[in-house]
Formats: sequence, structure tokens, C-alpha cells
Amino acid sequence: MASEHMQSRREPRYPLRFEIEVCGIGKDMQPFRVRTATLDVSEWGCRFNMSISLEADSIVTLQALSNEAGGKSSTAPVMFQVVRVLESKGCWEIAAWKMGPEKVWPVELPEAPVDDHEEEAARTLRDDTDQ
Amino acid sequence: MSNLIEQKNEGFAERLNSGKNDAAASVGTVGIVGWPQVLHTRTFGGLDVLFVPLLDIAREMLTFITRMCAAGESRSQAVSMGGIRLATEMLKDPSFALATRGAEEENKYVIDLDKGTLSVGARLYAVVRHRTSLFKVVIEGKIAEGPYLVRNTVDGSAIVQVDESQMRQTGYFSTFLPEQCLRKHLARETSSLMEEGKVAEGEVRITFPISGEVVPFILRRKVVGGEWDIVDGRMDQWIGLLPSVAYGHLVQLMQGLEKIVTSTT
Repeated sequence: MASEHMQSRREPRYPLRFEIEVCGIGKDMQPFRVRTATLDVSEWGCRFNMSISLEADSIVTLQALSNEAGGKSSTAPVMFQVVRVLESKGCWEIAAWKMGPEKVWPVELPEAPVDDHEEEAARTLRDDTDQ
Repeated sequence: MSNLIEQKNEGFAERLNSGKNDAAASVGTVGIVGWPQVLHTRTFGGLDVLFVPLLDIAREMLTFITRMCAAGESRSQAVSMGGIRLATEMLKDPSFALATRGAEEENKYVIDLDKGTLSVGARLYAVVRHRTSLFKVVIEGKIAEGPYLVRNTVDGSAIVQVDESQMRQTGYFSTFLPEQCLRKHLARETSSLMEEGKVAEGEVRITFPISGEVVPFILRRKVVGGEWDIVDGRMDQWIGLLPSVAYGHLVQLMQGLEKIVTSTT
């Protein structure tokens, strides 16, 4: 199911900032645990900045530690696969995709505001590709 | 988290490479308990290629988990990290990719890093004298020390217990193990046939050359009915009933032997 979603990549993204804890194995094969925050989220994916670089296709667990209002959240760690790593302002911007159907965000996303900028950018990209 | 890997061991991909050369392409999946997806390979899923490298890498992960726990991590977190590291190692080999669960593959490996077990559901093919037998089996055991039990998935019965040194022999899963399974199966078949006939009042063993091969036979007389079973001694396989015209000769032979024995004691 995750792979099917990954193929389509038509999900709306929401500019929601959740504090998250990311755990995984780094390029040096050492385990790491990093606290950061999401740049945006979707039902199956998210973007966040990290001080360490990850390999594309590597696997991490991601746990939301706060809700949108900054209150504590108690969702369980969920597995994600890294799909894109970009260097950005002295850190690494990671895009990751959820591996299973578990709920990870502490809000129901359809009620959240859609990231218009991202949607517009995606639409433009699609139009360019179609042409 | 602290540095938990003391030395750089040979990676999964290198280990896998050593077994790839002569192997026929075989599909397989490796599931890690608790994971929503499996690692899938279209080519290197065969037991002779994958089982031992997977066992070795899983064993390293158990050590890694122990070290993480000793460094103060919770058990569940350490197991989770062990699974991620295992998958990361495997994904370095381009023949492995993540895939959704549910596909019924020929070789289905399952690693439980929490319980420390490895199991694989597979099919074994044994060909003996133009007879091909298929066995659907599950091979399961403890990652840390073994031994490994091969069970028939049809009736759940244990077929044979294998130790690790056997599994490390080249071609063990494609040749020796199926043959062992076949022998066990035939022995069971024979013993079941014998049970039906309430064996055995007499037994005669003879060996003679057939087409250059010395073949042992066993002739066994049933208690009920007095018929004689013929058993191929090479595989302990029941191959038929002795024609009734030969009964008299066998009875004469046994009576003669009895006379000799009683006269000398």
C-alpha cells in the first residue's frame, strides 16, 4: 500500500510543524537519535531538516512528540523510508515516506490547511512534465 | 547514541556474493517481525545463497542489540534499531528492495530479533531414479546457537534436525537436505506399510549387483497373510510383494537355517 501511494505522489501536503524524534542508522552505520521538526507533512510522507545526512532509501523511525499547538503527543514510532536528501542552509532536508498504514500525526490531516505553495509547485512540475 | 559497532565486519553484500556464482535465480522475501514491509529479491532468495549470510548478519544484529541495551537503550528500541541496521545492510545489495507484504514467494524468511529466531518456508526438490519429490518445509531455529529443525508444513511433523556446519556445506539445501527429507519420507512410508501388514515374522537380506551397482534388498514376511514384502535397502523403500511362487523357497531356506542353528547350539 505504501508503495502504491509512493507511486502516485498526489497527496496534499500540509505546512504543519510537529516536533519529532528521528532514529536510525547513519552512513557510518552508527545508530542515531535526533530531535527536529517537520517542515510539512502529508498522510504518507513528510519533510524535515536534520544536522546529519542520510542515505536515500535508508529507513528511520519517526515519532511525533508534539501536536500543532506544541502540546505533548503520544503517537508510537512509525517506520519511514528516506526518499530524498538535499543539502539546505547548512543542514540536510530529508523527505521520507511512511512504510505502513499506521497513524503518525497527532491531527486529522484533511482538517488541516493545505500547503498551497507546495500544491502549486507540484502542479507546475506536473504540467512541465506533461508538456 | 554511543559507538556500538567495534569493528567493521564483512558486509551482507560481500557475504551474499560468495554464494551467488552458481546459484539459479530464485525469488525470496525476508520479513522482519514488526515491520510493515518485507525485503524482496527476484534472484538471490534460494536457500543455498541466502540462508547462511542471513543467519550471520542476524547474529551480528543480536550482538548489536545486546550492546545497545547495555548502553542504556530500551529493549524495544534496540530491537527496532537492530532491524533497521539489518535492512540497511541488505538494501546495500541492489538485488534487494522493500516490498509490500502478502506475496506468496517460494522462499519466505522471517527474522524475529526480539525472540532471536530465524525461520524460512521453502520448497525442496529431491530427484532419485527419475522420481521427483517436492517437500514444502519450514526450517527454523535460534539465531544465536541453532540447531535448526526442518518441519513438513503439510502435517507439521519434524523431518530432520540440522546443525550449522551442515548448512554451510556448498549446495546443502539443494542436494543433501532434499535427499535426507526423501529418505525420511520413504522410511516413514515403509514403516507405515509394514504396520498395515503387522510385520514381521521373518526377514531375509540379500545383496547383488544390478547394472554395475550393488543393491541391497530386504524380504520381510508379514504375520497376517504370510506375504513377503520387498524393500529396496538403498532408500529403505517398499517396492512391492514377492510373487507367491517364491514363498516355498524362502520357507525352505529359513527351515534349513533353523536346523543348522539348533544343531550347533
